[in-house]
Amino acid sequence: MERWQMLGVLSVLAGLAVGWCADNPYLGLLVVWILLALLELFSHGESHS
Amino acid sequence: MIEWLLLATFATAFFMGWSMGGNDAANSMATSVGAGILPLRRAVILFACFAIAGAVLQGEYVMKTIGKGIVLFENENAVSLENLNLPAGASPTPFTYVPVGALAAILAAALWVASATRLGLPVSTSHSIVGGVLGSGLALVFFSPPALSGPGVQLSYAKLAQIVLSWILTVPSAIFFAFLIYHVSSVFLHRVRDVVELNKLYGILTILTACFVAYSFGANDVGNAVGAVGAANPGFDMGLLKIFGGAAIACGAIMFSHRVIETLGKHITVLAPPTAFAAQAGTAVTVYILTMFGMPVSTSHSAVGGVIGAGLVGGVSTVRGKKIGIISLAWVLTPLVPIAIAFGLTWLLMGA
Repeated sequence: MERWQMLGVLSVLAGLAVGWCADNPYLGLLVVWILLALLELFSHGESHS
Repeated sequence: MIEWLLLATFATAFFMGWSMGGNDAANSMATSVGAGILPLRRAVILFACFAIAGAVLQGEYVMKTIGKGIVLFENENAVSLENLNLPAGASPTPFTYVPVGALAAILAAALWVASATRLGLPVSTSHSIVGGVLGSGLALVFFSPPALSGPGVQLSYAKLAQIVLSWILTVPSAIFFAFLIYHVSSVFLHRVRDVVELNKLYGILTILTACFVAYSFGANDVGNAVGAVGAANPGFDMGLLKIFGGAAIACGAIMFSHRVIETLGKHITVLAPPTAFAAQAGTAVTVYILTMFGMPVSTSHSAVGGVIGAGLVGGVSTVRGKKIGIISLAWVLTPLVPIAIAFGLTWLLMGA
């Protein structure tokens, strides 16, 4: 698994954890979107072979 | 027993969602990657964002137990985990085993979809679950305790016939619509003389259509993963279940969707932005129209049909028949393998 994949999975799981802890799935969705957008912004040049 | 089953339903639901994400991300993103419109990483992240949004924002309308109506039960109210907690001396009913059967059905489907994904083959997750439900339904029919003999469980052949009809109709419909959309869009968009501008326009349209398909997938199919958990735990917060299912789909897509994306986007035919758009739009239109007629349509079958239709624009020789043959074989195996696995699993779990 490449670094961006690992970070992507961690971003999704972090969003899920926030959603569950805050009992608010919309907040969890927002966290997933922000983290994945940041991942995409800062992982230029990396791509799955 | 109940705690074990609760944990097992959550683990199985996550595994199912993960498998679905791995296999079905290709249905929306393979055309963009195959035509070089998007790099794989960006395509997968876009899919994850839209699929999880569809699951959270609209998933509740279709939170379902897939395969409902194939196996008929006399008393659906009896479908609950509490039934497993029988008082001493009480006799079980055929419905005692329904949660176990649902668990076996989903697990069997997830195992097959994950195996197909590992081999890079796009298969229908819905049909896999139908196979799983059939397998566990048959096991319930055959292995219900003899003392409980009676028509507790039966199969709906009308529902099965409808599913088979959808298998026959989906691919030809998607081929037709992709072919048609290519020629219709050519009439309008080829007025743009600059080839670079034209490809950019087709690229944007393909990405928009792909995001729509990803959102619809999250909204329509999250229930396939977590529907059984919801049915077994009626008091559970549906919102949290939806994000759980959406997250499982997103993780599967990020971790191992690349093989199926490559098969669909690169190994069936060579796609360019105009044909990629035709394939993607053909897929979306086919799913929309067949769903309107109540058909249990497979997005994977539509996507393969769409890509074939777009490939046929350049002539029959541009489509790789051998690859289509292998995919077709996987489609034939798709309901059969989960039937066998679910039958065995249900039998094992009922004896446990």
